[in-house]
Amino acid sequence: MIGALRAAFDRETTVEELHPHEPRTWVGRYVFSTDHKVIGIQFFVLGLVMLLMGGLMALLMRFQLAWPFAKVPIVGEWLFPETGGAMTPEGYTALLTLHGTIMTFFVVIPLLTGAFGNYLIPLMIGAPDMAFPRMNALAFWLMIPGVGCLAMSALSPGGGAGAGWTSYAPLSTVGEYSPGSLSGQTWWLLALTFAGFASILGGLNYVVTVVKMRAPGLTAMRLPLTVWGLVIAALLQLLALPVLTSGTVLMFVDRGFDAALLSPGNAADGEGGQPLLWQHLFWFYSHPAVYVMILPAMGIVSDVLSVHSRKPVFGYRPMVIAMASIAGLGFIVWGHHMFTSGMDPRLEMAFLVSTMLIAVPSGVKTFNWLGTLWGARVRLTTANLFAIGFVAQFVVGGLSGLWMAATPVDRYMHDTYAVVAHFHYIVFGASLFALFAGLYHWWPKMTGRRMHEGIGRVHFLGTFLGTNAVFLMMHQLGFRGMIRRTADPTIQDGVAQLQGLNVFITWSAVVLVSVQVLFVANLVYGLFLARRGEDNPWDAASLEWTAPSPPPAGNFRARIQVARGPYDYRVRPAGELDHVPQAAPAEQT
Amino acid sequence: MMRLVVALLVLALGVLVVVSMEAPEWILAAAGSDWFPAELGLGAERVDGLFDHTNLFAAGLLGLTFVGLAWAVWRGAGRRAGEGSERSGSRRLEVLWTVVPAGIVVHLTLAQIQARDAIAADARGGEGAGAPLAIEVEGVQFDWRFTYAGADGAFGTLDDVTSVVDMPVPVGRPVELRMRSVDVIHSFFVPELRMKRDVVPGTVTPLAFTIDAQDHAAAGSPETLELRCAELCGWGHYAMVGRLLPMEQHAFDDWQARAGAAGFEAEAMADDVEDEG
Repeated sequence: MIGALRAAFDRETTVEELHPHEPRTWVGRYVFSTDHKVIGIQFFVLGLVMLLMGGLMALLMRFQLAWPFAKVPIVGEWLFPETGGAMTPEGYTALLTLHGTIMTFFVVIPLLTGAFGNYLIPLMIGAPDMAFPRMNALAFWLMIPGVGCLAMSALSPGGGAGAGWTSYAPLSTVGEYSPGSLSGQTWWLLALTFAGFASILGGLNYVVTVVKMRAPGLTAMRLPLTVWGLVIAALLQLLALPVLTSGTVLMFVDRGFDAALLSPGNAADGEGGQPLLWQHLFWFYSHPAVYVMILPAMGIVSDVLSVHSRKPVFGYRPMVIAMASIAGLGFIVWGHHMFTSGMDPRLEMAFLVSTMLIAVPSGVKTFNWLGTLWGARVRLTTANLFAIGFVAQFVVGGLSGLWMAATPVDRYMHDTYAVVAHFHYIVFGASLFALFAGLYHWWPKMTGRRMHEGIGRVHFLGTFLGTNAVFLMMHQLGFRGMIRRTADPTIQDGVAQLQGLNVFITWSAVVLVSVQVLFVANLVYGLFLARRGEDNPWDAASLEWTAPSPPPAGNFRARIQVARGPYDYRVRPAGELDHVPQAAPAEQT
Repeated sequence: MMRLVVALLVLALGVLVVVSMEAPEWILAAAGSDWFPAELGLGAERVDGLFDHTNLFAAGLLGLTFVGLAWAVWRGAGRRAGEGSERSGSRRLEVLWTVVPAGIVVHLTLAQIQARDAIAADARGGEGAGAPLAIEVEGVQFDWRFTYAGADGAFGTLDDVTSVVDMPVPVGRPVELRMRSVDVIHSFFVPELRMKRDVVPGTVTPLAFTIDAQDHAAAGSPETLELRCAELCGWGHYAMVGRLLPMEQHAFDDWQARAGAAGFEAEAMADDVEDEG
């Protein structure tokens, strides 16, 4: 069987086997397109708009945490007319649910896998398009009703879904326990299901495309790490999402037919279900989902560091193995989210050990990034700055994971702000920094123009300072016992003394969000004002830069033949080419 | 210029994180608070000890990586064409930075497992502890309710004592909670005990703890400890607060006797009303 898999994986597909498709109408070309590049950009637009929404929601939440139940400026009277503009507790729980759901399922996952995956995979493997272009388009268009359902959830009578992005049963399944749980929670479930199907279709597409459509000579060990990260993430989605979907089906049945599959129901008859079942099903997907949010980011950062530091990725093979082991271990650690849940203590031990093991491949990745930078000619481009910021913040977020793995410490930290700080260092400090690194890096590929480096550097500095100002001190709040998802931290005796920190964090968040105006300005500059012309402004070696920028339908002008890996950077005197393009013929070396 | 800024920024973040792990009291003092809440539960010191021990390695690794990162960026940004290295890997280094972290991981894992067992034993009062006091805890949106067995030590009898919000416990005696939820999942969290356990509808979750008499006295014998619901349980989650009232055994006995009598009277009155109706 392994032989058959190997044969399938190593089969070479030629460009001629596929037909570039050129729709004639504007709508066909730019709206209902099946071109992977258009779909990738559509994912970018959707993800960035949702990022803005999620960020503004975070600001609202931060306002409430700094000045609990004070009148919310600007939007207060519009959002909370019944209190004259002050946030309500149920409003706060709805906000935290929406913020978490949007940022996970409609920002980070679609941006990393949907946007980068779609745009980059065919270009990086020398293919004219995806294996299933129509299914690919469907994956994007499923996101739109998903967003619609989320909006319906927020607007539904009784307020939005209010059980958190984790939506633990029975808070999420029994209407009377939560005002938003009337119809808001059902719309939330639908939104999740749409996004889930989009991810499954996308994942299937990526795996098949990479297995079947690589250019001749592009063996597995010659793939850029971005492609490796995306493919491994796609496999995680394919294998784990059906489990979450089965969970959402159970929840539908509970909500629609009072089935009590996930709650004890009428406990007197002893025939109810088990609330922990939802937690197991949810985390069996959602822990791998954490790696879906970081593996492509790791790949992107490896590529950006290598190109902008003019040096091959250090330890390519260990990097691939590390990503695969993180993904593999990712399937057996979900229980570390449940150390306080009351599950069997014998299970705890297994989850403790498996979770600790993840530190090893994560360390390997970090040290290899350092190895890549070591002795390199580092160009401090905006893309590279964000990649360097990623490495620093990934280390912080990774090491704080050690506390959560240690069950006795976790029993203290769980559901406190220490956890909030930990995962924001990963999804904001790492994943979103990789997003920025990738966007600045591949922007010339997508548009043929460069974003402004000066604005970009200031954007980086503001974002780096802002991120740490916002999230670092959340650890301290957590150590003092500040619980998550609280609408009013001043109620807690010990935490009330630290209210100054909460105010500081809120002001920092205002700065962090405001700095993103520079990013928007840079997008506008990069779209309309920058000079066009260069196909390969960074002198990058990997395949996607062989195509024109932006690439035409069908991507490549000439037949691609690969004779080497994607990171052939060398030390050469000024004036000589310091890299060998991946598509260059073998004799040129 | 930019390379210096970036290197310094990375170093500054590294220093800040290491300080916040190794000397957090400085930061918290600046922000107007002491470090962790007082360690009042038996075994709480072990939790903090494990945390500190983990941080020793975490801070070491973090310091190493950040200094390396800052140096590599500063040095690397100063190189020109024709300078630098083409090195793309090293078997020796890969083995080194796989084996050393793996060793640390094994060490920490063993320390965690050991601490976990010791903390569980401590929570039950350690060796020679007296008979535990059983308390039934009920979580309900958005309150905590407690039932004590009363003087006869048996639940379901007339001298059972119930209490809402307030949870008196004798200092130095092991306490065993049997927790249920009426509606959604709640979580029993007392920061000073370094413990947290979910209260799940449909099941009984146990939790054992002992308030250390010496630590309690050393901390100035606080009369109330905050009991938080830690798991999102609905719109009133933020306000679901109870109070743990540590007291001497005799004070606890007095309270139980008084509350039991009052409860008995109230019940008798309710029965009278019912009979008349």
